[in-house]
Amino acid sequence: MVGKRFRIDRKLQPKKCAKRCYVVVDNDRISRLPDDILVTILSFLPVKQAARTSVLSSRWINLWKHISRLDFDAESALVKIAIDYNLHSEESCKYVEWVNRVIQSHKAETLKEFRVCFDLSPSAENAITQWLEFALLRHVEKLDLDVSAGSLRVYTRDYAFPEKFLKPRSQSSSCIDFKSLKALSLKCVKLSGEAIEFFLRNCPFLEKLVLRNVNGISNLEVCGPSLALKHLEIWFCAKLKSVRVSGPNLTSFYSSHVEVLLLENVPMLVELHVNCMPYSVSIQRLLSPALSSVVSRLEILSLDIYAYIKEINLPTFPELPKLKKLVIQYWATEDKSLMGLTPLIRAPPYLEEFVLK
Amino acid sequence: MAAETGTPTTLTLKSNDDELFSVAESAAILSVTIRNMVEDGCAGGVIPLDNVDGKTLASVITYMNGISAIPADEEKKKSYRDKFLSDKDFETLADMVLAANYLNMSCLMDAVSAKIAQVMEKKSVGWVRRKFGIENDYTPEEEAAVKEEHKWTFEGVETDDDN
Repeated sequence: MVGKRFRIDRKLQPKKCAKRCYVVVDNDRISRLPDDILVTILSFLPVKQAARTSVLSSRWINLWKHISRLDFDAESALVKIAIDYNLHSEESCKYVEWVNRVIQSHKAETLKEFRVCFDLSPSAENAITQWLEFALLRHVEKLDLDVSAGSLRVYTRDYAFPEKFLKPRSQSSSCIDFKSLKALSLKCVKLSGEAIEFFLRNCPFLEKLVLRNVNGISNLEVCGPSLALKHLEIWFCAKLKSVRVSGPNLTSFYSSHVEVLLLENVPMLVELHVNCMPYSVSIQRLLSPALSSVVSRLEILSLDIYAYIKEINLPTFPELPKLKKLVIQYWATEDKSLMGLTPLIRAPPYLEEFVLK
Repeated sequence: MAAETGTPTTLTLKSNDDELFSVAESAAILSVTIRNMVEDGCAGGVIPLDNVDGKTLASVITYMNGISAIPADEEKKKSYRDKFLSDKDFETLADMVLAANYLNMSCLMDAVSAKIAQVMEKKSVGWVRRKFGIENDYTPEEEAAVKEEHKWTFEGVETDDDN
């Protein structure tokens, strides 16, 4: 049986096998599968392992170049840097070279997933912009850009999301649009609130938005009657003062370090996690009786409450009829009483799980 | 044959080895191929599926019934899929992935593909060749050249023992 094969790249094509037909032996069932199925299988492997299949046989040499998920995971290099930070600039350069090399060889016209996660130096900025352009031109569905990989970033500065991508189509010369985007995650990227709102307006299918250490936002409005958003996370965005959320499809919302949090039209919300830091969201204000009318379907509520300065005394809180799980992380000095939380603990009549830390 | 008096609720599917199967339409339309036939009014009689044998079709129908009985809960669906595929050998998985592709069932296609990929993950080239019976048709020089070109794929990746 003769298997279909991709054309071998010219420089890899040894003269002797140029006209050789790849003959798949009978018990080599996997190599007899059609190209598109093998590409789908390889798309579930990390990039390096998918590309390594090119060594299996000539049937496999170019299949990996068509995979639809590009997850540039470099966990082992990150571990090396964590042990010895002197290796950082060398490893950062290697990572940039690696991503560049892969996207130069890659041939798929569309991408389901594109993930970059590394502690990158400021010198990588141009490269990152090219990677974003690469992914967006291929109508990526899930985009994950983390340019810190959890490092403390003592000397580096955040990568600024390129303004040129954030122009309405009519004013922009590029073919980039965000219509395919379903999930967007940005970590240690500089971006304004207006830019986030641009995404929300221009990504009609965006279901998941995660912002972590995104600096440059002061006020954020996540609002719109046609918002498809189901899942929203906002973590450690310094300088972020207020967030207003109104999404008819939103089911889960995580937030920390926000001063003012306004939840309005969230009829589908079942999961809410809020970090009520001192000087950030006031627990009294968040758990005002008005909230219960917008979160009547809430099933999981998790709160970080800080009572270092003064005791927390919550007002009487209306019933949370659907609440199954309540998690309270209570940070206080020894003499602060928990009694002030009673109205909250009384609110869910059908609670199944209660965690107090 | 066009369905003139409303949509039938049960469909009859015929495998390429002439086995007949009855399946609820609501479960069968997980296959976009079948759904298109239903929408075009071609589902009144027997639906011939020329690329699927009876053994594989029986298995696919078990999956269709199982997954469509679970309400919209992605986690429960995922654990059903994991359990459904857990005892399948590679030959069966290969038949299933071909059937899922032909029937245009993306959820089954992705689950089976991920399962096959899982077998290859973190394994050396030699192990994968032996496991799947892949014939290495490179000459030693060609293999060395391909390895050299893809040297980066061997960096920083831990593989399990080569046995």
